Amino acid sequence: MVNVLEASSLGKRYGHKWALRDCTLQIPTGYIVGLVGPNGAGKTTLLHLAMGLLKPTQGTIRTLGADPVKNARQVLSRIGFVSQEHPLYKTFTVKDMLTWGGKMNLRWSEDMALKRLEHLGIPLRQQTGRLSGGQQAQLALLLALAKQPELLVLDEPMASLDPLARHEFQLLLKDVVVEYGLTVIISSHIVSDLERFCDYLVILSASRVQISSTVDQLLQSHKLLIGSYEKAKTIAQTQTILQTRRNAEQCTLLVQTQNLIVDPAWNVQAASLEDIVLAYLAQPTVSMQNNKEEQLEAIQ
Amino acid sequence: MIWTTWRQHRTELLITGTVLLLVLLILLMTGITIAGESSRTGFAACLARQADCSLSPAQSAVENFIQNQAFGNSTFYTLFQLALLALPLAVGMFVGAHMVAREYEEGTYRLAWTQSISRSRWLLVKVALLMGLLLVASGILCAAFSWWKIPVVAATSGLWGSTNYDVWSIVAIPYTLFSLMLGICTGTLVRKTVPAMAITLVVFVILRVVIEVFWRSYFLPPLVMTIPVNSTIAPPPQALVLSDTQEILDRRGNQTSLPSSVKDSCSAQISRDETPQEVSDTYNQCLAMHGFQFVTVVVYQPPDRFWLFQAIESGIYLCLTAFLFALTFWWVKYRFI
Repeated sequence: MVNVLEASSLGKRYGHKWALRDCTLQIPTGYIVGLVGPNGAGKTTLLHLAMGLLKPTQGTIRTLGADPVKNARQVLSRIGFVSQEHPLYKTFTVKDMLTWGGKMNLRWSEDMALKRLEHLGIPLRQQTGRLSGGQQAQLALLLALAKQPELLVLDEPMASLDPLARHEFQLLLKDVVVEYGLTVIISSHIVSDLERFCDYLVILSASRVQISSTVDQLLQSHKLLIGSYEKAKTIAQTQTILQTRRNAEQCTLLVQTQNLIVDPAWNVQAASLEDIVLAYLAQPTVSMQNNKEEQLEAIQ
Repeated sequence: MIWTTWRQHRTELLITGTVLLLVLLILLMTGITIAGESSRTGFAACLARQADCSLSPAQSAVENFIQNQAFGNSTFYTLFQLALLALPLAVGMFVGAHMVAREYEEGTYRLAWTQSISRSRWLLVKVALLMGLLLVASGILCAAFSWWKIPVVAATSGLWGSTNYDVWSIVAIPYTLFSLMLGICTGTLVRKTVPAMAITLVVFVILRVVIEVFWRSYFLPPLVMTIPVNSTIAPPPQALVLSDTQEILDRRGNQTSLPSSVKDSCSAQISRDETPQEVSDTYNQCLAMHGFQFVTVVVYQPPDRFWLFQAIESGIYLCLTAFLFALTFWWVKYRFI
């Protein structure tokens, strides 16, 4: 299967500061991909590189199988992009914005957008600058969808929205994703935003990719172990421990493991996605590939 | 893209159009009254004979009419000229500097440059359309001026006067196109509207002043005319006189300075009861006996070079415009990513 996104030792530097570094990543087609990371982790940089808005300082990136800078037109016509803060031409009416989209694209399904706008109660004659933040985000999403894209890229689409608007945006997004069967890449620094509908997760932290995996795999390969703190050292020799929480003699370990843990000394529980993500974000140096010596040192 | 460009810039374009109509209206109204005054005083008839009508009573009457009455009063006339002088600059600051910088400031470049039209095409079409519209607008204005200015140039500013050369003639069109491109280019490089406007203002004014003051008069080597005392020859009317100096020539015709012995002996020959003309004649005859003569040396550009100079200056500005376009295009396509 073709990957929607392929990065190989991708890096982008501004002056002396690397916004993204050594990013090697494959995102397969057909998933709803959450791109998680704290503010400044390089999420926007990665997405802008993927959209050809930036040019890599080093490495390569291929979006939908092609270089997004050299083949900008072929690539961009197949992607719907909603950028951070969902910019719109503020003096345009909603209708103008749709006409604009139609002029700027070859494929354009205005009927779909009109129908959905009516359903959402967004008036066509309103200036986009006077719409509420939530309506602006919805309009931006519909503009991206009207391109009839294969891939939808959303950069922090809900960051500036209040809880109600966020909920409505999620409803619309879920609805269209199911209806059109799109591959979606959605970035956020709020894990709970993504937990509910992502089935693939990429964790970016400190300008590097830490995890790129399906949510199922992630949940299967990470477990919470609850037991005596004494035994933590023993288990660290065979398993990768991501996080240790100690409460008197009792401790809770977040462990990355491929095998089943049958040791009766430990009470094994499923880890929540949020636990896993936070553990990776809290330890920017740890990744799935790291060796065990470091883990041992961390415990001792 | 045509609709897109129009929709995005319609406010600026409508203002430009309104200003254009307003100026045309003023030109029409004043042009008719000036033409009336010109024929009433006989100035038009004088011009029709292709005679030198400067310094005639008709000329001063028409000049007075233009300065003080045609525009209401002399302040309005000055303001009108200043406004026209600033018009190309305003285009660069208010249309050009906003074009790309505003997309940056509002983040809409991320929207515009991720659609199915490549950003180099986006830039190309927008620049071409705005350039085209301004070319038409400034062309119309220039054509209107070519009718309006005939009696005005003859009666007031003269051929090489700054208003005639810069505002009423063909070079105003390249000024406008250059200013637009300068605004677009600085907006692209600086990414902020207000600094881009300021840079456009400064660069445009400096360039205009430098070319006008230091370069324009020397586009071609000026002609030199040496006029002996009491001669009636003179540079052609409407010439651009760069310098007009008194010099002393020796027997071989070289410039020299007068030895003080000659100066003293000739001064001594002048008697008190002579008229100024006689004083001058006596003195010059005395100098001639010693082998010296006074001449007037005039350095000038002849009036028939006017359109050639307009073409040269237009060419300079069009080359700069092309360079700025290439820079902007390259920046948007390669540098900016």
